[in-house]
Amino acid sequence: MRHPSDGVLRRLLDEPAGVSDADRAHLADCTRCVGTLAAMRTDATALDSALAPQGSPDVDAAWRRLSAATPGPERAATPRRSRPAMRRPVVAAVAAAVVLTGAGTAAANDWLQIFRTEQVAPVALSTADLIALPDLSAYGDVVVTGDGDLHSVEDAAAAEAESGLDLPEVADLPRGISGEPTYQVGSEISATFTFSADRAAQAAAAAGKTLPPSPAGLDGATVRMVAGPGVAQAWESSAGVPALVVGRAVAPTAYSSGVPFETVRDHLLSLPGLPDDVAAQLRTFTADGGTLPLPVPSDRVSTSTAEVDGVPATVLELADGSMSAVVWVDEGVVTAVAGSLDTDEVLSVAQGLR
Amino acid sequence: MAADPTANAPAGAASVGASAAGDAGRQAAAQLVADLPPAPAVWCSGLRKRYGKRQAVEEVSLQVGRGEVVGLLGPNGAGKTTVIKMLLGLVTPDAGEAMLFGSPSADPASRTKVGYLPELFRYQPWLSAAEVLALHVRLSGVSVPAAEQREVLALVGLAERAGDRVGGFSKGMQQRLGLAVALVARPEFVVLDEPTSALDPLGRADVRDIVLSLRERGVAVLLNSHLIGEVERVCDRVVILDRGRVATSGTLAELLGQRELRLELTGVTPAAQARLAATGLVEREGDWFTVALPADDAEDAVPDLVGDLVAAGVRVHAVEPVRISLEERLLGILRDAADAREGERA
Amino acid sequence: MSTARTVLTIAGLTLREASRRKVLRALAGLTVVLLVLSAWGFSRLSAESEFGTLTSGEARLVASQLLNLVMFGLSLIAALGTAFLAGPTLSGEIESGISLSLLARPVRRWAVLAGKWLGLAAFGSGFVVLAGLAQCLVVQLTVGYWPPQPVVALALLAAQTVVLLTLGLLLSTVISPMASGVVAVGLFGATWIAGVVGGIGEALGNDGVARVGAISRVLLPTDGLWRGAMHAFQDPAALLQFGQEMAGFPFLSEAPLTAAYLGWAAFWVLMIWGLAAVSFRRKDL
Repeated sequence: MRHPSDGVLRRLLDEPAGVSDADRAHLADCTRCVGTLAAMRTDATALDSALAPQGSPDVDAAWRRLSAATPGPERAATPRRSRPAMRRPVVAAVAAAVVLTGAGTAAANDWLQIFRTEQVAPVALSTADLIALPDLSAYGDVVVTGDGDLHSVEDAAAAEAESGLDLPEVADLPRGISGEPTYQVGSEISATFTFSADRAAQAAAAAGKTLPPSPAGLDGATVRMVAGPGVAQAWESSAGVPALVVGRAVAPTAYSSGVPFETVRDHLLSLPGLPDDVAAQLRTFTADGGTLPLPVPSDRVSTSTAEVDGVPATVLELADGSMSAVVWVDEGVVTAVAGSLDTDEVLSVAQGLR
Repeated sequence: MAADPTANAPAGAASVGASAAGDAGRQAAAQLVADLPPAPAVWCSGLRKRYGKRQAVEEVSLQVGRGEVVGLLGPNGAGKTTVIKMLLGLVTPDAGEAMLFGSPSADPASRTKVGYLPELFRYQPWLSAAEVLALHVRLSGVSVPAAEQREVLALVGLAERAGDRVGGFSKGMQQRLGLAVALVARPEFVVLDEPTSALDPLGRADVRDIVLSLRERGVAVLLNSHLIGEVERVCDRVVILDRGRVATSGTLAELLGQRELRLELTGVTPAAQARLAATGLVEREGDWFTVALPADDAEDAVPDLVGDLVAAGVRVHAVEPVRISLEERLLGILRDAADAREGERA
Repeated sequence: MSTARTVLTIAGLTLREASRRKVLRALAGLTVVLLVLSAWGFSRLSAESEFGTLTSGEARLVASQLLNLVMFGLSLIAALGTAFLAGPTLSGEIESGISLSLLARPVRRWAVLAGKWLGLAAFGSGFVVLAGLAQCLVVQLTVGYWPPQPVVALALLAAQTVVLLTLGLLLSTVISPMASGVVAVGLFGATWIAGVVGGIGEALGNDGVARVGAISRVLLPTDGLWRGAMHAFQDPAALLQFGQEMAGFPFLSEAPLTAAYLGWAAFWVLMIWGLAAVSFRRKDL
């Protein structure tokens, strides 16, 4: 507990009205202070008797003289206690200015990052995806036959003739889409892939991983993958991006000798360091060409199922709803309708195809 | 004197500490502490405040005892309002200290029992009068039932306007509301800064009655007013400020000590003249005598004098007490101070 | 205990003031006008796409851009409203004398300040959240676009309002009522412009100019928070669609905010509030 200063005790004798209740309460309990007070009183009586003829004292003035004359600790006893430096406005303002300057400097030097760096990878479906083959050259020998080259053709008849596929006709264009479509044709593309355990080990080492053990008989196994031919018609929007694409292609198929294709595929997919886009493409291949979603990363799309002309179809929608697609496979032919539309619009286009 | 060894002897003996004498001293000191009168409603010492280059308040010390009604007088710019604001912790003094009911006014809790009507009275215009009172009651931390709050509004003559928005009030009504705000939280000390500045004569009379009833209930009041008559009628004591300093303070009797008596007398004998002269200074205009009365034992002075004059055979036609008004006294003090300054400058 | 009561009483008083003064009606009027105008605009937009120039996906993209634009207008209204409410509330009351009788009560000044701040923050963020939500619903009904992170976006908008009103409160302890409102809104606008300039600097690859934006966002976090809110309102595909050609466009925000920046904004509010408390504590009435 803080003892009141001698100045306060003296004031108790001279001008008790100026002693706070807190100090009074302290004095009622504190023998030490009462002792000091008693001594002071004796002093004061003695002084009074000695100085008696000096006339009535000016108490206020005396107190001020006393306050002024007594050094440090006495002054600290007045209620105006020394304040923490931060409570003084000027000090606080200067401190805040220093903090702001420091933070500004930090921002200028990029020590304080304001924005998270976030790379949004574009999700774009293009006609080329329909007849693309995964690049597996890192895992074995690849011999490509047929260029699969995508090129524009004059009109629907030419496209059909070149590809040998029926080009579906869109009955009703969804709102916002008008004008004539452009036609594109891609020829068949096929590749023979011979798995090489050594190459795969090298690729894994380059990625800093070790290769999991290969299933028996895989080394040297050969797989032939065929995609296409394909045909597509696309409507451009005012912004220059395809607003609607309707495409059809022979479903990608894989043939294998010896080891089943699924074994090769699953082993390749399990390999470390396989690029995501290659993995996505690889997943689209099946031995019978029966199931096929488009090669899109699953975290950016939501998938649902629907039916188109009695065939089960996969409906894909980008998370932000800016783009949708519907894909189905019927008798080894894959058909896709995609665009910057919502799922209902894509489905109605798909169901209206002739 | 300082060389006198006897002056130091008792003090030395006490501090060396013969235990028996020390115990007696301790007991006496403890008794002194126990017997202290309760801290006054407000006490301040050595208050100073400077605004820019102007020293608004310089060394003001004053005290308002519990239940005491004190008037604060002085010309414009004397620093009355600044002193009041420093007492209430609204303005931080440059030096000096102030206490309300024994706790430093920097501590908000010291204002619990204080009511304040500022000179600049404005209340939230979007609230109703009753809502303003309820707000102040909540902030004061005292629980005052709604009925009592309505009574206070009725006391200041706003009972019928309790539900009206303050924004639509006239100046005078706002001042009445301010008075209610000052009174609502059961204060033991009320500070009224120019409480009648916007009031009509009827309102002034109301304020006077309110202050008198506060005094009856033992509530201390500090009243700052230009209306000296008002102060003279209700105050026990007066403090006069001039240029930031206390020019004079004291009870009304002390300040207006020189009372005079005017008498119309005929048949004045030399003995009677001597009796008059014995009482105080005498001035004569025809039959009218003006006698200055002594400040002390004023109770008996007048009947004694009249009795003696009649006994001396003087015919007494009229006896009129003449009071020096507070106004005259105030003007005198202020003029004296001005003259003193002139003299210093010269 | 009594301090908490003071804070809550003053906060309630401030809310009551806001609800009874004309500023609320003006604010509500402006907001309704903005909502109606935007509803009309958005319905025109969907009509346009029916006429056949935009697909529904494109319409949503444009809607998300327009939403940012309208939200900016809304945040501007909120900024003006709170700044002109926060300014007069302290210095105006000191000037008129309302504070004299209020602060002569057994209350701590910082508690009064905290109450004012709390009331204004509740009012400002309440307004922003309600009006923002209404705007989102208008867009949902007319165009069918719903922002990806509406909660984050509205919270950041509310935070922006709180930042500005804290600044207004500090200014009002130092300068006159009108001046504090004007200065607060001026600083808000200046930071926004500095942010736009910084964005252009980034687009042009000029580090020096880009730094202008970064520094201003740290000195007064309103623009940074606004950009964070915008990012949460806009369609992520917008960046891919418009990204290259519209880099530096003021109504397109490229990335969400970092936790460090949000922490700085919170600290900034605390620091400025503390400064206001220190300044108010010593103020002679």
